[in-house]
Amino acid sequence: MEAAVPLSLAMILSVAIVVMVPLGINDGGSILEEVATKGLLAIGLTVVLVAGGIDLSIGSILGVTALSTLILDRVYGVPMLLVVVLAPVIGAAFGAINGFLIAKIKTRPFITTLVTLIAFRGVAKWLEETYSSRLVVPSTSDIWYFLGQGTIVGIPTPTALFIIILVIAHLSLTRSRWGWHLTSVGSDRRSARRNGINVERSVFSAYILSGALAGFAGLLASARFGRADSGVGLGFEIIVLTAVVLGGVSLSGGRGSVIRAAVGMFVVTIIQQATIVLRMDNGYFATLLAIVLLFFAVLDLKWGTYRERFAAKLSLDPGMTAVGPLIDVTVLDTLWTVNGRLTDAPPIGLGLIEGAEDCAIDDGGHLYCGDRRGWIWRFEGPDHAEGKVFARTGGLPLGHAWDLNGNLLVAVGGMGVQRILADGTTELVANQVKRSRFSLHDDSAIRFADDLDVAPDGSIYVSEFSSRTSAAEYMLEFVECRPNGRLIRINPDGSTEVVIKNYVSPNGVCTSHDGQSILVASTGLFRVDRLWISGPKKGQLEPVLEDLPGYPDNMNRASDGNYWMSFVAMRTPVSDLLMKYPAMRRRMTKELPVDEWFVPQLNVSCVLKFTDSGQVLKVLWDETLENYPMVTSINEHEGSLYLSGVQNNRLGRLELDPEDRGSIDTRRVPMTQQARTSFSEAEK
Amino acid sequence: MKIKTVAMIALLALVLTGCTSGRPDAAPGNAAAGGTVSLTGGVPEVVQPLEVRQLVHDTMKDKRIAFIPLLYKGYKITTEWGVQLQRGFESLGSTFTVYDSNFDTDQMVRIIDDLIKSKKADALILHNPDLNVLTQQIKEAQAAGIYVVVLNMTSNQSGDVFIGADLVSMAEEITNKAAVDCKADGKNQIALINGPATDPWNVLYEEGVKTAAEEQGLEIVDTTDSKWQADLASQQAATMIERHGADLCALMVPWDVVALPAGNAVKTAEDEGRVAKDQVGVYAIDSSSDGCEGISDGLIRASIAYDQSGIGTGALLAVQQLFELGNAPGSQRSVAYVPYVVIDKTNMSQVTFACYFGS
Repeated sequence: MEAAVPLSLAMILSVAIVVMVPLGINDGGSILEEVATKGLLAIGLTVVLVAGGIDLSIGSILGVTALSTLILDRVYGVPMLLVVVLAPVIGAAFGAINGFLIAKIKTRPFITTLVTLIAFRGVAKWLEETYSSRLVVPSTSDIWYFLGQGTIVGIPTPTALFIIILVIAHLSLTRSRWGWHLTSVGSDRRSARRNGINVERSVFSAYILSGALAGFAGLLASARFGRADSGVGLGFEIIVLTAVVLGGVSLSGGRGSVIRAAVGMFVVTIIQQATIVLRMDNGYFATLLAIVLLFFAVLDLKWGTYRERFAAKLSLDPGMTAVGPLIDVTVLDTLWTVNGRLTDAPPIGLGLIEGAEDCAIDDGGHLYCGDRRGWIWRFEGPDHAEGKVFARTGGLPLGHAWDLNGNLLVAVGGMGVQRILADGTTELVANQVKRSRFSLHDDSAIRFADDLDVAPDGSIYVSEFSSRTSAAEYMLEFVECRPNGRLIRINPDGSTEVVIKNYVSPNGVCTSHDGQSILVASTGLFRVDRLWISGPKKGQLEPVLEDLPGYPDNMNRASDGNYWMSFVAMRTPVSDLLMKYPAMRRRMTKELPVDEWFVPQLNVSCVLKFTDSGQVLKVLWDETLENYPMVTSINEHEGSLYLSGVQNNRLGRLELDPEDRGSIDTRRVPMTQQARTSFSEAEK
Repeated sequence: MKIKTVAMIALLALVLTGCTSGRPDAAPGNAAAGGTVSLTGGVPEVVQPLEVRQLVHDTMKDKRIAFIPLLYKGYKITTEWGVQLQRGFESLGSTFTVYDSNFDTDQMVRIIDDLIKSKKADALILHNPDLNVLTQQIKEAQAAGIYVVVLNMTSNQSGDVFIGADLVSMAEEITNKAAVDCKADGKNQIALINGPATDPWNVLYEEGVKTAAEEQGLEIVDTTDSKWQADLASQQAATMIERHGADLCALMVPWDVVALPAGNAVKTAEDEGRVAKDQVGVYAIDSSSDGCEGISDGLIRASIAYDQSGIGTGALLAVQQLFELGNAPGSQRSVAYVPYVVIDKTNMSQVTFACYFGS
């Protein structure tokens, strides 16, 4: 994705050349041969660039090795197979000089390799003076022929070898620990070091590899031309550098792919072939190359700066939604009419808490709630007058639930799902799922875990609001309103599985009282669905609530066998209208800063109670919006309702109406006999 | 596991059977490329003069001849050949194109590859910079039915025809000339300012000079590679004078283009008193109009003029003959040398092929 722009520009350029210049299929062979040799250098240079360095000496290493292989063969009569092995070793030895200077002595890569560019060329000149006159005998070994002119399964040997090396290099760079370390070092040396990566070794290995590949390319060049002067590979560094930059490999490190570099090499070679076909002086090619390099280096710089903004704009694709009828909550004397029943709920942790999305109460009556600074607070029961930071999650704590062992589970935006133990330590439950096949976007990380609940079998159901955006970018999801979210099941053995994919902003998750199904709230589509997890309908999804007047957030069980749910925002006629006009929403995101976007009315506080069959029983509001301007979760415990709000500076505790009181322990996982919580055991 | 092993073996076997060494076997093309009418087998024994003229024109019509010199623009030696070739081929209705590789071996190889692979030429006229580098290209061209004529700088791989100077003899002769002058002065040290080590010109020249020097009792005290570059030659000449000053009597430089700057360096040294006047003579090979000017100015003491125009004409004749005879490219190989003569101030104006203009 990140290299799409430079790479597509490069492709357009090459197509334009192919169209304009009479390049024929016959030029293909020459282009392939050329790419095979220089492509090896491009792979090496890409690896070094990804590691945050640069290697200008590759052309010289190629030259020295090319001469060395000829000398070994013709002067010293070394067996050809040994020469084939020695070529990359010689190259790697020269690469090791670069690596030693840059990784150990900490010299600057540009200057260092510029110096070695000259120094290694000097070695080549010395070899030339010493040995050249003895190299005029023609070669006799079949291996030379095989390397230069032979074929493997119909593919010219150099090209076949190049493809093999390319694939290996690609896999190593993208799928191995070594490659990831290298990329981390190139992206940010300091944080790589702090994460325990051996920076020196990574950098050193990059130069060794670059040298070895240049050495092998030298062998191929010798086999192809048999040139025995020191000028082999002269000026290749600039050609190869242009190619890799064309291929979208960043000069500032950390970003690049060898495959794309190979594509860049093709483009450059096509340009070169075009100048030959057009009988242009080779000076033109050099000039053209310089212009292309300059253009793409500037692009790299600018693209590097604006890439994320641009990608965000490009990837934002609002969807069109057919909106159902809107209930008018301002009409007097209806079930939905705005009221003030939440307004006077006494606060908990006023001034201490910053944005508790959800909370949980343990056996001892102690209250635990999140905080957008990443903390979990604990307020001592039964009055919750005193609170302290109990645990630190490192992300954005959202939904809370108790697991079968009485430990606290928290869905942490940016981190996945964590388990908080009685001593306040946290442990990771899950932070990844299997990546979807055929998806360009890597959705393997659980980026935006939102709410969770536990099923009778101990598996955890987690809603991921979006697999594309982070918790900090929730506004994008409001605007886009596309099925980017999913419901994930974490099995008791820790494995994960996506049980609902392509769901629009799943938010609240609640296990039904009978333990047979999981309720999931779709914020963007203002509805609640039920996923059957056992019984005859297992695996089916069916609607519970539709066309709600607000955007649902967390849901929790009520003690009387019903469910509590809160709205994070209310629908308005204008927000409904906007749902039908994605182009308008897209334009809004381009022309207005985020805080001026028109999104649903976020500052409301509406709480409702509904039955298993989807009947709304009662609705509670804070019409003043002074104390509880946003309620994102409701937890019922022993006759009290606890009001949490992701933008509130407090929790609220509301005395329940006697009619609402039931006998069910809302914290217990349905259909299980939960023992005492580990939290209360710890207390003893 | 077993299946995997079998699959690996099968794959390996497939890959190995699919390998070829690419070493061209003696599989000559079965016919000459090109024109619809051809004189295959040569001109009929008995034929009307008008008829034979027509036959030759028909054979040569639309033949594409490519000339790939090391360098072209501004170099009298290659333009001298090119001009003769151009005049000749154009009058016969052939297409003649010069591809300037501009002193870049890689570029030259790419140009030739492109000509062969895109079948853009029926005959290649090459000017070879390195004994080995064009080996593959010559073979491929001939296999593709393209005649190859190599000019002046020979290759380890023979083309259909080589036309050029007999450099070893020329080198011996000019060394003998230098020996005469050196002995007259009572000195015996000479130095070579040569070209790149694997350059065929360099190899043959050094051989000739060594042989003659041994016979004449001259000592070669230094050999450098000028890379055929004027500034390098000039520096090297100055250094040699500095190092061998008193006993040096001749600088042997196998091309007038680099002999001139060497001569200038000698003159500067003489002017600055670093070497006695007329002690060190520059002995060259080849003599364009610039070379002759150098001789009359005393920068070059003697040179060998060889028939450059004749090399161009010879190549023209060779190509015509190849097409007329119509043998498969690479099936027969021949070498031809052009005449040469030692020149100095006294005789250069009397030698027809000395002091050529490249036009």
